[in-house]
Amino acid sequence: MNIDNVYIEKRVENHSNTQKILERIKFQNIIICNSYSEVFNPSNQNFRIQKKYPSLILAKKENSFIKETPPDFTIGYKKNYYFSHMLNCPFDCKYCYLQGMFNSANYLIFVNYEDFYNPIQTLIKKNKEKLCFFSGYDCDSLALENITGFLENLVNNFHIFDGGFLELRSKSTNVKLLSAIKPINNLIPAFSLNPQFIIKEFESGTPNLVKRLSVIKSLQEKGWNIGVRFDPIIWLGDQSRYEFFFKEVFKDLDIRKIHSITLGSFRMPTKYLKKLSKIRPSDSFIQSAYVQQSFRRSSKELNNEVKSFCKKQILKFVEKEKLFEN
Amino acid sequence: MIHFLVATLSEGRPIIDFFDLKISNNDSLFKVYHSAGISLTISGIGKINSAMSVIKTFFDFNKQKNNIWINLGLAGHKNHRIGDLFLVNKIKDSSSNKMYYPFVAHSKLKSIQCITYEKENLDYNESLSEMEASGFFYSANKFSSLELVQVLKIISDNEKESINFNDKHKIYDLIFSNKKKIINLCDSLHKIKENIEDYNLQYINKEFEEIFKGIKFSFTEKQQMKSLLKLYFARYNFLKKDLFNYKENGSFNIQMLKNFLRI
Repeated sequence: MNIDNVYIEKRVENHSNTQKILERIKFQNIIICNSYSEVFNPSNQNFRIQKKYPSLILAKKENSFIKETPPDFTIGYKKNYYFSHMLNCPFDCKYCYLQGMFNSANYLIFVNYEDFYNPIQTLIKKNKEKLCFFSGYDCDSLALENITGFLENLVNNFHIFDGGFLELRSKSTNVKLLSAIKPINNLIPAFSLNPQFIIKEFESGTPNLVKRLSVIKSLQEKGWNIGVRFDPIIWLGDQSRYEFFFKEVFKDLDIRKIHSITLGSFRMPTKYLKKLSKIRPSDSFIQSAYVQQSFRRSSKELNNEVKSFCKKQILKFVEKEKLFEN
Repeated sequence: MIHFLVATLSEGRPIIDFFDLKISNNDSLFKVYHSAGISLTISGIGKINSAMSVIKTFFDFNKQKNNIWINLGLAGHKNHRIGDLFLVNKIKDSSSNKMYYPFVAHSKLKSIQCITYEKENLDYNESLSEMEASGFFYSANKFSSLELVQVLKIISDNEKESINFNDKHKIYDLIFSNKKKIINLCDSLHKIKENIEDYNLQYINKEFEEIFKGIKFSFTEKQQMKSLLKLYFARYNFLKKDLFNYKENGSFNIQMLKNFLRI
């Protein structure tokens, strides 16, 4: 991967993960900064431009390693948390909320991976119930693994998740590492899916549906239980196309090797959507969603209809215990 | 539009010639030159002058947000060769210790950090030494997205040698010899600017004031109409002005546009 500029926080300049990451990429400049926030947070920068010319920022995360997910966000476990070793992702999905959440599209990697482990272990030990952790909430879990090496590090320390579960959510087909190791029961690779016509229009830079399905199939054949994520399912009407999509998804997959399925509609906090409407002014999907919010018109009714249709389709193939609505 | 800011007329002269600029005022504070699409302001030396001249330029050229801003000037460095040109990737203000990080990911020009000093600095180091960048950047970034604000410096002195700063011809030649790189940078910044699709936001604001000047809108109605216009322009190129009834109020016209857009 070619990244022209790498910003490095002075305090992680000599961190072993920093050195490893620098060995994995080609770059033009290293720019030392005091804190990643000097580069990542300033307000008057443009997400769309940086999407085209991303830089890499290597930093140290100091606190808030683990956060609770919103209520109802679950794949079957009562207590759910997420963590982000990285912010932003190389894909460019039109509906992605990160565009509304961050000022910068630069890839920010927290290189102190080891500091995530203690809080996870402590949380698991403190709770009697099974906990589930999500990675890939503020990034794509697998897309930049070749650079970050985060998953490799995690797998080598996976005992910390004993008594808990970890979901790695991705649109990437970069599963080299997962293919090479023995399946781990409490590690759930999960793949986000949408119909191909949606992928083409909304998920720029991502692998197509056929590739994603083929990767799921190959991991299932190796013994992995896979999460299938229809979240958000982007709805453009015409039920028959979605009916065809669900058939296409489930016809080749091993249903027994599906850990869980989630279904969610497009939703976004008003503040983020307002920002998106500014940076994607010619996108009618985003503008239409923004109009709905401007008129404080609830899209719940439509969303419920869509979800209920999708649910019906999914339940043709999978038992209802595996389906979760987010 | 591209706004060049230089500290002295000697540094500005080559830019005036590259782009065939004409003087637009003979202001005693800041001289401004321009042609279609390019302006040049002579700020005077120092970061405060630099910051003030950005503001002056912004107001002189119709307060247009997201124009391209380039601070071009001479700088010292420990060992870089006289005449070498650099894009600045990090600016440190020597008095406040505040850092700024211009966006240089788009350019193949060599980039380097610089320190903005209050006074001339002859204690050369690994950073460029100069006196305007921090004031310029802080100020220009108020009016334009960070990616469009650039600092371009040409080495004029180092530990071993220095140009004669009174020799206008020498300064002219130093800058003129980098003409191609400067023009290439302008071209690449124009391409980057295309990604900021704010033209229709500005257009919508203008159209709104124009079309509905006789119609009363509440604050909420105004926001709603603008969001509908944004959706309209995401779908269509031209606004059909007969969509509206100018004798009716804001709420009526909102409903008309909603019907048209099938919302």
